[in-house]
Amino acid sequence: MDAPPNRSPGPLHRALAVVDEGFDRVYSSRLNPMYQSGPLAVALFLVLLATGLYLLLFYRIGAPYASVSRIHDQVWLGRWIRSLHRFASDAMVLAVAVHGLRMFVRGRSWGPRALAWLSGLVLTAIVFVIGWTGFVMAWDVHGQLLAEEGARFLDALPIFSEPVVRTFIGERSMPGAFFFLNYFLHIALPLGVGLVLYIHVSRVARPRLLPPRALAWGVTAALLAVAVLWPVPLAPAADPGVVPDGVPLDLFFGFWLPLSRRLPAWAVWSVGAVVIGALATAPRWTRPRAGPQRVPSRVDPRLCTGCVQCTLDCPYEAITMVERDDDRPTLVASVNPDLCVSCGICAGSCAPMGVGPPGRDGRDQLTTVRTFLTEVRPSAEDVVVIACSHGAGGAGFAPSFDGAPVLPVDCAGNLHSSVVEFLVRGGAGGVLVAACPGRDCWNREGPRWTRARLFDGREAELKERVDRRRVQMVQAGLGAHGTMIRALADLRSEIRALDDLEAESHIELEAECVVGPSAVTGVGEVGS
Amino acid sequence: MNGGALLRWGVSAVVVALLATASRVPISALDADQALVRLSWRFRSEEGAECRRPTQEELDQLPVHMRNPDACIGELAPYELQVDVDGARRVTRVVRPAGVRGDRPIFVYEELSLPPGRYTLAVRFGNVGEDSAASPALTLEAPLDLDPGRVLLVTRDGEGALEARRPVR
Repeated sequence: MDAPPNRSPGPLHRALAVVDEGFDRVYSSRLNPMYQSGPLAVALFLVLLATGLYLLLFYRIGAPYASVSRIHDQVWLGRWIRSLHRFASDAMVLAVAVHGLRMFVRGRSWGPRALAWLSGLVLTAIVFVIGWTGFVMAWDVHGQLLAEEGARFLDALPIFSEPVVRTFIGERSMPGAFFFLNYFLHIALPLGVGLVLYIHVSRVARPRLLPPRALAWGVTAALLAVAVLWPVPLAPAADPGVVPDGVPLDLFFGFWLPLSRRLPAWAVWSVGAVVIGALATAPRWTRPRAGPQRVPSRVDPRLCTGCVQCTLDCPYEAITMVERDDDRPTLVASVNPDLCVSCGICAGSCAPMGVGPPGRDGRDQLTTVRTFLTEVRPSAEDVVVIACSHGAGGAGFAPSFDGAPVLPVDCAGNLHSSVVEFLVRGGAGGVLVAACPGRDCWNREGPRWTRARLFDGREAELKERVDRRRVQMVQAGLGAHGTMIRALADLRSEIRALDDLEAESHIELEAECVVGPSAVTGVGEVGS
Repeated sequence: MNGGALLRWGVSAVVVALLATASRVPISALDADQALVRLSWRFRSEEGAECRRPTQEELDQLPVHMRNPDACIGELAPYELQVDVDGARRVTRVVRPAGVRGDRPIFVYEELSLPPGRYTLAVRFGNVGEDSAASPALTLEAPLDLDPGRVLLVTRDGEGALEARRPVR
């Protein structure tokens, strides 16, 4: 087993870990909104669809501001539905931004994940256009500001014979076609979201599109509460005869406006081109130099029994079963290198150790653990920590954690259960497998499959002969140092209790087998 | 309610309050205390010096419905915009006809930011290099009362002449 990348996380990753840990403490790992940013964005999109349908019933293209004003005047329903629509869209932008940042920090922007990265960028762009058209539909000063600024940018391009900005300056009445266009885009583009979302998750197995219900409903309820208690104001109507001042700007969709208004259009285009260009080419410039941990998995057909477990466990649907080219009656696993992200989950799924990334398959792991046992020689009092190098409270970055020897792994999901058995049989009192939080696996589904293999008998399971009381699993993010300390202390305490129990059982056995006055005296001493 | 639940409610309240605040941050105009004069109109230019009629050969190459023997091949003439405020020149700009071939109308769009007050605005829009004695294509000389934060539009009226008026809402 190759050593996992022993580089400490960068400042962004560390900062993210601190925030993650904070939210973990408040909301628990399962409901941590940071881990659920993508599914949360989808849930908020559904809230937008529901509230948007209501708003469409009352919106009039011929009288945009007046109809929105009427909605706003419905104090008991329209006002808070409009506010919920707005807040949900703002929260969605926030969720999308967090999701994108997390993917970037974790290097999920290149190789087989490039499609998800690029489709995510397209989704983000669509979300912004939907939002902007929504603001313009209301045709208040906020919408006017967005429309005028957008027209200024468009006019800088040599593609319109007539300046677009002339539409908004009051030379004539606002054309109904303009509001129809906005209306059309605002309704049609959400349909496009569904299509691009399908592409976005097309390369992952079992995509989770929605967060846990408690989180989805909790976020919706919180947004609804603020919508009722502090509804979004209705800005004054757009008026080309007035320089818009004190416009209540929505920073989520118009964060760029305060800066862009001070820059010439060509400068804004230049900045935009650089930012968009950098994001669009991220699959190229974020690709790390080739290393052993990034090579796609490979199959040893001699060892493959055709059990299909690796195809079931692969989180990226990169493994299929194909015909063998020898005379054995089973199928054989085959890895598609274009889809494999080298997460190594398959290495833990294969009982005969026939699949995995080079250097990290089951046999490589056994070689590593043998060396580890030779060098460390853990005693019966020792707990060995098998730590994921991307989480586990940072335990994977040092040879020991709180006095316990550490065996680092690239992802806990890589772990072959035989490694745990080897450690216990090699003298370790206990083994603590430290993985990332369930929804925050550096790869995907690592903690889920590892737990199932160690404790629930999933294929490539930990053998019955291993005392489960000596094996525990903890899920902790990079910043969850305290969680790791507590889990280690718990297992140590458990093992001490086990050892005491075993020592007592030895004494009883001795007492029953040895006959004589001294033995009786000995028992009496123990009992006194 | 235990401490953990209280913390959850508290953090959630702070997060949504921040979100609601960020959705309505007031931004001021760049020049809120200034008035704005916008000059905007469309003008069909005269045929330029390089303008010529299409040859029969060129016409034959076009679809039947596009064969216009009076069409101008070559650019229309550029015009010059001059704007004076209280006698001081504020804008001098040559405006070219729109379109890749320069055969579309001229679109004038110009913004002037001025302190509130009373001014005399003089606009002259005529052929490039035309001497001052010649009468320009469009002209306007009018007193303006500008209020802070207000926009005044200089555009063409129904007759095609320049006028200064409040924009249509």
